[in-house]
Amino acid sequence: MNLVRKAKLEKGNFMKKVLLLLVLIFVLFGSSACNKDEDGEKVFADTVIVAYADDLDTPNPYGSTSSSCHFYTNSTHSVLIKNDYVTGQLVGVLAQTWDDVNGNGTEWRIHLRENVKFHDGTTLNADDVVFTWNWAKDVTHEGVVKPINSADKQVKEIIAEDANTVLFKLNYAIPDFPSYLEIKILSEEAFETMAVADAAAIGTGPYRKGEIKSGISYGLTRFDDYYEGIEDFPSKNIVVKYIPDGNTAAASLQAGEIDYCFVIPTTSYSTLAADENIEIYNAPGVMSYYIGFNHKRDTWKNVEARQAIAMAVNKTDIVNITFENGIGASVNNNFCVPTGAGYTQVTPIAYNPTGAAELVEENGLTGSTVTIMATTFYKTWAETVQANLNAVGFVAEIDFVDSKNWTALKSSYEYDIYTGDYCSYTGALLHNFNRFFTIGGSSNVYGFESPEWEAMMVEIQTCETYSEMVTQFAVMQQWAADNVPVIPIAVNKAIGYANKDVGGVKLAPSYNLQELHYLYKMVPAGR
Amino acid sequence: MWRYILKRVSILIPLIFLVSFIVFALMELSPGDPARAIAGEYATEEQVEIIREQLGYNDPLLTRYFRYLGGVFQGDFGTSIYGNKDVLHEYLSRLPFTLWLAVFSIFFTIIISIPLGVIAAVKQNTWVDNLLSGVAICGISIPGFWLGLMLILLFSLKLGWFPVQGATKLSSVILPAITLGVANASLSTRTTRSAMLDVVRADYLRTARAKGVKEKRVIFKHALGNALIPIVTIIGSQFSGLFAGAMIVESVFSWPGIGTLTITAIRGNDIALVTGCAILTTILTSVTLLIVDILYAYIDPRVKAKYVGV
Repeated sequence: MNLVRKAKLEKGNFMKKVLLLLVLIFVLFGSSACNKDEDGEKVFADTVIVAYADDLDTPNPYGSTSSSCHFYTNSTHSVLIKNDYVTGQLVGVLAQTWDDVNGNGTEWRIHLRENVKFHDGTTLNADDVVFTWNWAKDVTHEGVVKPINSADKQVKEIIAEDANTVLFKLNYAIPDFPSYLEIKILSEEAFETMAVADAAAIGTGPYRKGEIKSGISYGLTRFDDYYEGIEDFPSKNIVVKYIPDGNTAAASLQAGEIDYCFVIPTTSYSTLAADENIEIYNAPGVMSYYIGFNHKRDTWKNVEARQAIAMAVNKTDIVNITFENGIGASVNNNFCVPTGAGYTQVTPIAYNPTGAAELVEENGLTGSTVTIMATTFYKTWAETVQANLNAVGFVAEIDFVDSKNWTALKSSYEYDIYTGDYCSYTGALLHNFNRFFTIGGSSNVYGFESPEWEAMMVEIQTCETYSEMVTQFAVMQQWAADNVPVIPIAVNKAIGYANKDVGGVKLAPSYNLQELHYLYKMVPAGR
Repeated sequence: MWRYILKRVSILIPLIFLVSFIVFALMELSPGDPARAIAGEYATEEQVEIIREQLGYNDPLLTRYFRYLGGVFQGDFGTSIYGNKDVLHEYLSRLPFTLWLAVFSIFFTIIISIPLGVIAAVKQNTWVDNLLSGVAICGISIPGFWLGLMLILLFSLKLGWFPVQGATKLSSVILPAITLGVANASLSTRTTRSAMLDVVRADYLRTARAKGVKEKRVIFKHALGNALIPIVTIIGSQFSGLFAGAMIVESVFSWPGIGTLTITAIRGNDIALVTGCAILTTILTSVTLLIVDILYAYIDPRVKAKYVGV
């Protein structure tokens, strides 16, 4: 009996020892199986792989309107002043400070940061800013496809006062002029010694142009002489893989072939959300989705007819049906988006089918045909609007068109309304309202004309301070909500999907504004 | 034989003229302004007009067409409006990827379709034949993009055997090649079966069997040898068709071939690149078909005999 007990005790002791040993092994080796080196420092992978749906057409920031060119050059080129879409504030990048010289918004002095190096080794100075402005404002210059907006109209003269000071003399008062200075600065010396295509790729950003494999990938290589140091950029390379299909990008992320992506269709959201190796990031967007009118047709010159449509349209239904129950966008009642400069909450025309039916009848529009121009991409949106309009007395028909020629088709005026359109609402206070609603505005493609609006535009341009402008702009936003030159529907939500080992995700509200250079990748645990 | 080759080449030249003009005219007729597409939504009408003038879009269609054609005869297929890339260089840089994919795909087609077609013919009207016919019909009917995604889900995500996308590893080619090859293999299986049925009961095979030749030899040497002519024709056509027909599959697998290039060009309204891709793919397809036909002449003595001595 004693022998049996002794044997059992010995067996129990042995098991305890084994268990203890296992715990010890786990403590010793298990704890070291994390992404830290022997000194306890984090270990970073050399390369972060991002997927995007478009190839890079050019590394010249003024050479294309494509979003791939924009976000690529966000990492290679620094701007003078940046609009922060989270805080709504202006942030100096290459410009350290700026002054309203006369206090009335007609002259602006920019003080540049010192000891900033370009990728070719030269030092940034005021002449580079003057050169960039003069070169990039003119579409006739070789390499300029996307010129600086309104540059000629706004600026009378630009002077390099000394090596680090630039003076902008304006044609008229622009109290928010610094918000127009989100311009990527080029090296004048590079243009003197290199071909335009090569020179324009040289900036002062934290990453420089890496290997570009047409149709496959485009890379960024860390610039070790970056003026703010490289501490924030631990991964040496960022490679953007060209993956045209969003579903393939989602599968690649799940398979660990890519580390980060921000162009995956919202239909894959729930699958990726269920994957424990993937982190999802959300940010408010800047894409303002709206329904537009053909203002050249008499019917839509009548504000009550436009209001009737605004009352008839069920925005919540549109958002739920078109944007995966609100995953991709949320209802917006203002053409300006919440992250836009000077945004104010307006009192919208509420969804009211009964009121809409009454307005339709009062204006003799019952039974009249409304042609909805739409692309098949936003088919469900058009169909929802069609049902909404039919319910209040219109006879709505949908004309599906080719999305590739959308802008040209809007200019054709062969429709009553169009659905599924959007604008990237970024930049200075008046920029978007001005280009859409003002006669001659670059996006005034549907012929909106209003003397009342024009008078307000004149008035706001007499403001001498930014706060005065903001107050006046709030009045204009409410006017637009009441008079419905367009019907705002929704604002997008930016969504980014990253591997768990990836850090530094700074999800921007639009594709163009992404800042990939902050991305880094930790070496996965245990490797 | 040379007469035959010359005759085929002489057809090629007007064909290129015709295709280039049709593509040019279609791009002209399609709505949309490439200058506006380049300039973007922020550009003023003046800026768009400058771009239009720079690219010569204000000239009449025929002027532009003949100017383009003049360039083509000197090897200049124009410059892509996005990024100022030379169209010919861009096309040639993508061609090896498509060729690689096409070769693998046709290899898959051959190793699958010929044995299955032979089996279906030998086992005619049995459950094996019916099963293979059913599978072949499914293979022909399944859309490539759907099959591609399903293969990715199974072999890349679930099993982890192959990469999801790209052309970085040798194994990258397998899934796109299978996706492309399934429809072709299904069609070729049906063709092989029909061709085999035409010869399998021929007198010369009965004679061979009567002489004691083994059944395996009868089928694979005597029957298949004679059935190969239509099979080679159909597989040859499929191979040439892969240059133009791999667009969707290349896109699904991010395969950097000419299909993806063409899709990118179409999406971007890049007239020079679309036209260049169409013309170059026509030339490529025609030359491949020519090679297949020459091969056909070698396989089929009747064709060769028509031109002997000329």
